[in-house]
Amino acid sequence: MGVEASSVAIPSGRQRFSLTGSAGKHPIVSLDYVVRIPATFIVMLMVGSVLREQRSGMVAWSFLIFYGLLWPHVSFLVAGNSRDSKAAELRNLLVDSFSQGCLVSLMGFSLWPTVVCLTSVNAANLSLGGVRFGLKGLIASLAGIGTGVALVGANIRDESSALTTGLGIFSLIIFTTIFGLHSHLQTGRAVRARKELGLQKLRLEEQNMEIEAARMFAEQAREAAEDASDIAISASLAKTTFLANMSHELRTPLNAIIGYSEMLEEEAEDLGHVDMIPDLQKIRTAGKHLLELINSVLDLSKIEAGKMGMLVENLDIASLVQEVAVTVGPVVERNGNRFGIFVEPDVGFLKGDAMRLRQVLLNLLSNAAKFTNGGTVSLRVRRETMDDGNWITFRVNDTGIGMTPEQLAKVFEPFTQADSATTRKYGGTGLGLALSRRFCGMMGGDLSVTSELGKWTTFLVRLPSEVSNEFGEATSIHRRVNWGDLTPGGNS
Amino acid sequence: MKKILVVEDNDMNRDMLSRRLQRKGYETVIAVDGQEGLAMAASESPDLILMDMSLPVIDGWEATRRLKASESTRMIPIVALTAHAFSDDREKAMAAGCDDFDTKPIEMPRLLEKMERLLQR
Repeated sequence: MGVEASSVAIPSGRQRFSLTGSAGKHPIVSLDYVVRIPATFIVMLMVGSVLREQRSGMVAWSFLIFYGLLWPHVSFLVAGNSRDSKAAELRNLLVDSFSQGCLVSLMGFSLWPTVVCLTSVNAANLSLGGVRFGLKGLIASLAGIGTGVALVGANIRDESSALTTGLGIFSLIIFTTIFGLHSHLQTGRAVRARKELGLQKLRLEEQNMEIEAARMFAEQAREAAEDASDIAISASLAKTTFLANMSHELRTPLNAIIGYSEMLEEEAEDLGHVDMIPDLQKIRTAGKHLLELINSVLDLSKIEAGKMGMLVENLDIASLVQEVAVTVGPVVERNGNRFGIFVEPDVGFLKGDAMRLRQVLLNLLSNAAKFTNGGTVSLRVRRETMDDGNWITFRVNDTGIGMTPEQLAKVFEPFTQADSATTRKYGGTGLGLALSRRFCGMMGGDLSVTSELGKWTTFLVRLPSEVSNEFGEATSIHRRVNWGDLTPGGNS
Repeated sequence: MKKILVVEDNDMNRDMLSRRLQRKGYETVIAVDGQEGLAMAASESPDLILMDMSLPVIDGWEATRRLKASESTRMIPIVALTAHAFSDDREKAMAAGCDDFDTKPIEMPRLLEKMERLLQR
């Protein structure tokens, strides 16, 4: 028996030796198997001692031997092969209850064996199936007792032999030992689980504390960043306000310089002092240049402070270009240049800020004229579909001095003319292209340049057919008017 | 000869503007602040007023509001002049009751065109 038990090897973790091969076996099936093999064997010995004394017949002996030696294996096979192995094992336990009830009757209710059978089977039912199952087990036991009585009659023995008593005591000790050990194991497991739980809780609390610390740290970092951002914003505001005030302070005396030189020019003309006129013009031109510089710096700082308003409206492209051409024409032709304007007939409308677009085109055209002598300056306007969408394109081309790749790379940076010699020769604030590019960006487009040194330069303005008004309503009507003072002197 | 009232607190601007207007054939009278501007507008009955907006005592907006509220001066056209680089000066000036708006530095042909348009009304 013992050999067989170890060869079928129940303890969990060795189920690859299982007789059934069924993978989804419930743990109580295996558990019961190891308990049932010695338990039924002992019950068989104990009951056998009574049957021997009573000289019972073959039926009782056959039943006892089947129950004691074969039933554990039969029940294990049945439960192991069943789809719901737990339910099957519980049915096996009911069979145990019924069988032991029968045995109790067959033994004539011999006291010790009766106590052992009923106690053990009841304890097993309660521990494995709970209270309700325990009740079912009791009913099964009673049914077994009834069946036994029906088979052999209700002989009641009121005393047991020494052997029976000894075996009964032995059985009870074994059962209680098994259940005691089992319960001890379970208790140990529960205690360990609880300890583990406590540890986990502790670890969790530690983690929570760490998370909280990290959160506080992040919060502090966020506050610091907000403070820094507030400081930066107020510094930027202060800068913008300073520039606005400063520009006002600079303009007032500048107005006097420009105004008086203009007046003197008029007077010199009236009085016939023609020789003074060129010098007076120089004063006025220098004054206007300075004013333009102030305005450009102000525009840049407004863009940087996010205070540059855009007045987006539907623009008739052809008439806007016409207007620009009239303004800039004389400037372009001054250096002996030919001026060509090509507007596609169906170019239509564009959503944008008219003043800004005019400023960009005037700037590019007067720039082109400045660096071209006896060549051609042209403006081509088309509606084009490119990989990245539908655009209105403005190409300003000149056959002028061109640029080196190094100059091209820096051409849109503020205060970067090609080199300082260029600045002396051609003048300009060094802000026009930087501003133009930003204006194009604000209208959802871009400004790019290609060139070949000594041959030609082309600036390409691309504006989306639909320009989004992300800068809100315009606040720049004042500048719109003021800007008129500067054209056509706008330059790079 | 049309009479123009120039209300401007800056000496040089005032001098320059009135002299250039005189050369263009206008008669000019001057005021150095808003208060004086109101008084001159009532006593001189000018044909047009050029009003600086940042004025001492009473500023240009308030002076304009009062001129437009008074029965005797309501009909005199007012052109606002400012040198502010920021702010919605145009709307502010128009809301105060100005008939037109221009910025400094003065571009004489542009200003004259605006003045003539108002004087012919």
